[in-house]
Amino acid sequence: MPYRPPRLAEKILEYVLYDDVWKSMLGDLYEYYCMLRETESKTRADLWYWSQVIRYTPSKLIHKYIWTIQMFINYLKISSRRLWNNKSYSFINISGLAIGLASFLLIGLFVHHELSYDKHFEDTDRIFRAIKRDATAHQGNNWVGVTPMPMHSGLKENFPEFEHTTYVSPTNGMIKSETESFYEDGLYVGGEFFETFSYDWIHGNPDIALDDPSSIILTRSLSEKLFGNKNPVGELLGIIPVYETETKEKIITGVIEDLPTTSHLHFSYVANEKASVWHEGNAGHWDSNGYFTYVKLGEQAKLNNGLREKLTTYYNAQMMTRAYYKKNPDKLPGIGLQPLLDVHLKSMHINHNRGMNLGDIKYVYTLSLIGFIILLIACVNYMNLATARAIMRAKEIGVRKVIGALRSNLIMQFISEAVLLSVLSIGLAILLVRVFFPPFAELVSRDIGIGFFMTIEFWLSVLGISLLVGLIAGSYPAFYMSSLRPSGIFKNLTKGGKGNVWMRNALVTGQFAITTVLIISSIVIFQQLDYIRTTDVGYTRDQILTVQIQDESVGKQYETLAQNLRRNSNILQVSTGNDLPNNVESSTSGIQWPGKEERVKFYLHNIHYDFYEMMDIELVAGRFFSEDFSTDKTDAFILNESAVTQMGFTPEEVLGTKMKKWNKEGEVIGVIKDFSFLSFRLRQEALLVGFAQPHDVNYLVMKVRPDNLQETVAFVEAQLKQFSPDYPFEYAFLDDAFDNMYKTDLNLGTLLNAFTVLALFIACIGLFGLASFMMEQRSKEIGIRKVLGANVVQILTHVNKDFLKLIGLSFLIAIPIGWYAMNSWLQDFAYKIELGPGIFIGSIAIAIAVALLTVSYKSMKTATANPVNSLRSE
Amino acid sequence: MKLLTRTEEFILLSVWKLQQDAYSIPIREKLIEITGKEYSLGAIYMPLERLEKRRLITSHFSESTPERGGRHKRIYSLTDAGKNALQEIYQVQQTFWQGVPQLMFGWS
Repeated sequence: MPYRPPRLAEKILEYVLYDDVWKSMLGDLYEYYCMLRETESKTRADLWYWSQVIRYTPSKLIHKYIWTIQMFINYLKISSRRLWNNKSYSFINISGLAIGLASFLLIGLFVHHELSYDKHFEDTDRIFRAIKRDATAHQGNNWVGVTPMPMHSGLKENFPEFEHTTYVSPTNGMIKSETESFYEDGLYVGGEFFETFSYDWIHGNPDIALDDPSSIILTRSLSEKLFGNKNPVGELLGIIPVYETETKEKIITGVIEDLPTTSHLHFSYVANEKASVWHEGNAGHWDSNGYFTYVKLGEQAKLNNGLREKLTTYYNAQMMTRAYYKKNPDKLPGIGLQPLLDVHLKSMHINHNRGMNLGDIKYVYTLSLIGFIILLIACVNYMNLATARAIMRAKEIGVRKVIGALRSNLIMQFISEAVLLSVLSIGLAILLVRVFFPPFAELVSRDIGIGFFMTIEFWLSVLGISLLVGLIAGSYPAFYMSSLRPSGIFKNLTKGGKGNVWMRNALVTGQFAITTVLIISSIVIFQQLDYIRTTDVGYTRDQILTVQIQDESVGKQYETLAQNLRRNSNILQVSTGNDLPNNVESSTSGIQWPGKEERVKFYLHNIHYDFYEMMDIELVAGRFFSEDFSTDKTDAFILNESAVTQMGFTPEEVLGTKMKKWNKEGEVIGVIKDFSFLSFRLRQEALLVGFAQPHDVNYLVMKVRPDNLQETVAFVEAQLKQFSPDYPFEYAFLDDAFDNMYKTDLNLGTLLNAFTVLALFIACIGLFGLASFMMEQRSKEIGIRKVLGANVVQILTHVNKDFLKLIGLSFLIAIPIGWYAMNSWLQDFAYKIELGPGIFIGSIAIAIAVALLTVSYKSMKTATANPVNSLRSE
Repeated sequence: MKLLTRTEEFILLSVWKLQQDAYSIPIREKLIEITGKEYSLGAIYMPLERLEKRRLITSHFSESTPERGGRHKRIYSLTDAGKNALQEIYQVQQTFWQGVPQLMFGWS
């Protein structure tokens, strides 16, 4: 017969009518269906067939699963009774799992956030950032994030592989509305910015938005702040870009949706770079690096080694025109392409990422590892307690087996019990997440928001995790308990299997080993961070008030301002410079001196009188800038020791050497001791100190008296307002700014500390549960020992001995792992602490103390109890 | 003994009449043919199941046939008890009908 009933309906029926007796119905229905097809329309026949599906499915399905459902209800009933009747045991398990799950979820949310950076762009996997390899860097980091401006057009014109290229320079500007003025972060862009990066446009046309040199595109929130809900396209907007003095009129050509928090570029407006004062000086110049270049690969293009080599060849051809590279071809730089999706997490080895939202992949790895570890410790608790207490339910297992339960049924039962527990725990865990999420987000310094509670993905992962945890935690107990043999159970009720004890010991040892590693890590990290904060960086940073100056016009009136400030008796010294001593950013390799052989990369610090004096930076030779020498203002340089060594001089020799910084000549008048002007992660580099010109007045620094700080700050603000009334006043103390540089590490330390305490807590409540159970089991043994004359101390040593052995073993495992992990973490720091034995002894002491306290609480109770109580009933 | 319903009675009779071909579809057709009333497949299954439970019929599976899409038929046959039940019904009816004048003349 050629007819065929609807396939899906047929499949459903085949599944539902699984029983042999019903199988013939399939044939009957088929025959009837064929008959209908011959007499009636296909639709009617199909409808009829479907009606049969609806008719038979419910009853037959219930029939099929009724026993499974019945048994499952029974498992749930038994499990909930057990939970209810053993409240302390349930509490230990549920709280442990809930804390573990909550930590895991929190960390998972952070990791998810970190991994979703820049995924919102179309074709984001085809976008790359061009980065430069700098072969002249003294040591360490030799990748640079910034590239010359002509890079983008050069790549576009010479490489058909690139579909679009653009360059970007973060900026900020003061925007003046009718009522107020405020700073906003922005981007100067050139090339095909909106072709490379896709944004959601509310107003305007991305194809022509950047055509006008004075065009500007706002994000939705800035547009709403300035214009309300009106469409601002075509309006004019006055803006004073940073480092400029005059208001620039911009024409608004578009409004885009606010950026997601997962964007490595952050800005409130995008302006055409052609309007920037720096444009003239950089356009067409291959030897000044100041722009992030992004390229979008064509759909067909492949990024392979051939293309990479061609890029470097092309770039070096531009650089070869310079005499230095002709002489030292081995020092030629190169160009690499960094995938856009790597920029946020994998830019730690790249210098100059100014204005980007960056994270650190190591941070992500570390936290993920900790999350898994805590969850694992919580799972192990469940495994240990469940297998230890298996004896208590041996009878149940025996009866079930005798009645006819298969091993698979029992495994099902114990796993569903664990799943029930983990589902209960995750309810609690979600509450914990809700409560602790804001402080956690603060610690990882990410603007994540609580919105994830609304997403299906979150709840699906929660469901998945709770099922998975139940499965993992329940697997070993299920496997073990279902293996008990009824004959053995009924004959000998109190002995657990040997293999079971061995496994449990291994699990406890593992738990404590992991916890000890965590303790070691948090101690080391805290000591290292403390070392950084307290160690001698080469300058004092107490009571140094710093004020950022954005207004270019202040520079010309600096002397007057300084005079006015000095009049306040609470201000001891006043100076200014282009950078603060904790973060000197600008550098050049273009310094000349007689007899120059090595190309040395100098960091540039431009300072006024008293700058180094107020910070107690020490001189090795020569002198500081002084008002007694009128030439100091124009032609004097100071070097640091590293610079002198790299140039191949001694401090005394170098004095008087004529050096040339671009077109400015000067004589070395002093050599200072190295002070740490870069991150602690980096080694010392060469520093060239010049005298601050008006355009170097980026920071005011003042040594102030510690008392009346509020008044002093208010005084400085009032003074500054006279010179720069329009600009907001932003100040900081140097020691705070210094601490801020290590905020990520500090936060990692705090997080690690918190998670270590949690892990220790979970491990301890597990140990507590295990110990109290053991003591219950051994109460008769201890009673007999007491009757025979043992004292409390002997009993305590006797029962704690076993636990101590395990914990001792766990140290043997933990110490090498902890040493290795911390040693590699410290490798990142140029200045670091020694991993002495003290750290390990301290960690062990903490672990032993906590473990002993936990175990002894119960054993003490049993050991001091009156033996009559445990022995009188049999 | 428990009396059979009319449908059960007809089904038993159909099973006996159809012999080797007694499975759900022809049984239903037979029923429709004789009574002139419409029976759904489900209306056949239920009584068949009941009868089998009361051991008046048994069933076995036939070889699978290609025209049924390779499915088995479930062929029913009367047990001895089934045959007895039919006979009993026949006798009960006969006894009841005795003394009633010829049908065709009506009751009025």
